Formats: sequence, structure tokens, C-alpha cells
Amino acid sequence: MEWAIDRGGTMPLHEQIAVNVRRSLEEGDLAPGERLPPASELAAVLDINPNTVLHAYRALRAEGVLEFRRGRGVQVAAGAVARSAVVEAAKDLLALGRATGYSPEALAALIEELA
Amino acid sequence: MRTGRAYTSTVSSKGLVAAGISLGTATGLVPWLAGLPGPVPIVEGVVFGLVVCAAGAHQATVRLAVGDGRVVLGQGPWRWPKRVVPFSLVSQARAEDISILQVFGIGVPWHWRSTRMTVRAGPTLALLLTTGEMVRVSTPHPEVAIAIISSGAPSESTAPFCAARPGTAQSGTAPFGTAQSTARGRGEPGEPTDSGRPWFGPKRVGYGISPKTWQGWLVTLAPVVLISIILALVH
Repeated sequence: MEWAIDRGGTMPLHEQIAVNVRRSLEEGDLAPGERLPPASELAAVLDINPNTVLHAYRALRAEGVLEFRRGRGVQVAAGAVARSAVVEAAKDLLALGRATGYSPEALAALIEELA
Repeated sequence: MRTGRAYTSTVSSKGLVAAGISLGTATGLVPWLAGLPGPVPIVEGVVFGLVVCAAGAHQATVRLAVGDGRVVLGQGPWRWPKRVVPFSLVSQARAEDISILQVFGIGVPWHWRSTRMTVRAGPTLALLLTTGEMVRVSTPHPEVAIAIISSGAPSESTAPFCAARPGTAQSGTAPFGTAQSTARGRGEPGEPTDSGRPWFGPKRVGYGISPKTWQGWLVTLAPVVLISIILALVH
């Protein structure tokens, strides 16, 4: 998969790496079960700190997009595509809520009410 | 604006993994199950079978990472042995679409020094180094790797990379040698010695392939001559 980062941009580098993974999932470059490069290897070719890559990988694992397996490295989790899209939509909703004065709790209550 | 681009891929061949497991099982267990007499006890047989399985899995995976001025190649899940090639050493990069025979080196133009990390038919990144070595590695999107290499290569050597990019007249999925021939012209001083024609091609009549170059005929006839000599000597 292709990775692109903008060191001069406002978005943190770890978030840019996570965006790369989500974009590849949506475009079909990555499929569930596929392995991602080790943090040290990706950091070397992107000329960034390995901890930055690990930060991104951990955030994606927390979202359920990636899974870490002992001895097998980092893999794309099953169902990661759908989950990634939902996470992105939730982030957009949170950003819209912040812009319009809705707190996360208020948004959650609104979703509960609509469900 | 400082941007960074990289390309990574891990390609595994399920067929090669299955072949390794089958061969490992056969070498380790079949003689014992069949009750064949032999000096190999069961424990050693199983261990040997497992080693063959692991070797098969190792040979079935190649990893590639391109970025920050270098190409990093590795064999197996643990990327060992590892090879680092600086962009400055790459004189030409092109995309190829290889056949299943070419995966195993059959029909690939002979090169005096060659590294083959191909595990499946299909898109392959071919790198010609300034040392004269040809490196081929399986990867799903070689054109992306070529774009990164060409953007990071010294300015005087960017022409071969640009010529080999897909979407141009010299498509990145050209057969062996074609992209190079059209990009630089044959016989040009300093041109790498990579002949353009595949050794084997489809038959004009019937199914299968037949030799198309003298190297192909050599590969075909050499075993026949060898076997004939051995038979003559035996009798």
C-alpha cells in the first residue's frame, strides 16, 4: 500500500498514518487478514519515529481496525472496512457537534433517542 | 511543504505454502506411515518435515518497502535475509507482468547476475542496478514503487523510470525487455545487457509453449543430450 504524510501539515503524523490505513481499506488496497509492515520498517521508509507509527497502530487497534498478534505482527482485523467507515462517520458527527454546540453526551443522547 | 511517500507490500503465495506443507508432510510422515524400512526414526522425520514446511512458508512470502531513498527487500514473514538497495544504485525500474513459469525463472532472459524474489504470477517490480544485477520482486502495485523511486532518484537517471511508468506509451506491464528497448533504444552505449525476447512463447498451432530463442532451445535440448549421453554410457 502507498503511504503519504505531510510533515508541514496541521494534522499529527500518527493521525496521518491512520488516515492512510483507513483510505487503503476503503479503496480496497488492504483487506482483512493482510499484514501491515512492522513499525520500525514503516518508520524507516517514511523517515519518522517508530513510536509515531506505533501510536497510529494502537489507535487503529482501539478502533477495531487492526489486531496485534504475537509472532505474526499487525494484521487488518476482520470487519475492519465497515468499522472504519463507522468510525469516520462518528468522527465527522463529533466535529459537527463541536461546531454546532452539541457535546458528545448530547450527541449520544440524540442517537439513543433516534434509535 | 515537506511530504513523505512510501510504498510497502507483503506478497504471499498460498500455492507455495501448500506445496511446502505437502512436501514437508510427505518427507516427514509418509515413509513412516508406509512402513518403509529406513534409518530415519519418527522424531527426526517429523522434525525434518517441520523444517521443510517452515522453509516452504518462508520462501512463499516476499516483503518490499520503498521510501526515504532506499528499497528494502526481504524474504519470508521475518524479512530475512534482508537487502537494502539505495535509490542511487537503481539505474532502471520497470513493472512487469510475469507468467507462472517466469516465477520460477523459466523463460526469463538470462542475466549474469540476478536476484529473483517472485512468488506468484502477475505484477512484478524489476530493478536493474548500476552493478548490472537484475532484481525482481513480486508486488501488487509496482507502478507506485516506480513513481517513488523515480521521484527520489538522481536527476540524470530519471528517464528510464519515467519511460517505464504505466499510462505512457511504454506501459509498465510490458513484456521482458520491451519497456527498456523502447525507452532507450537497443545498442545504446551503456545499455544493460537484458535481451528483449522471452525464451518461450505460445505455439502457433496447438496448446502450450515452444522455444523462441536460442536460449530456449538450449534449455530444451540440453537435458535430451545429457540423458542420451548417460544412456549411451550405461549401455
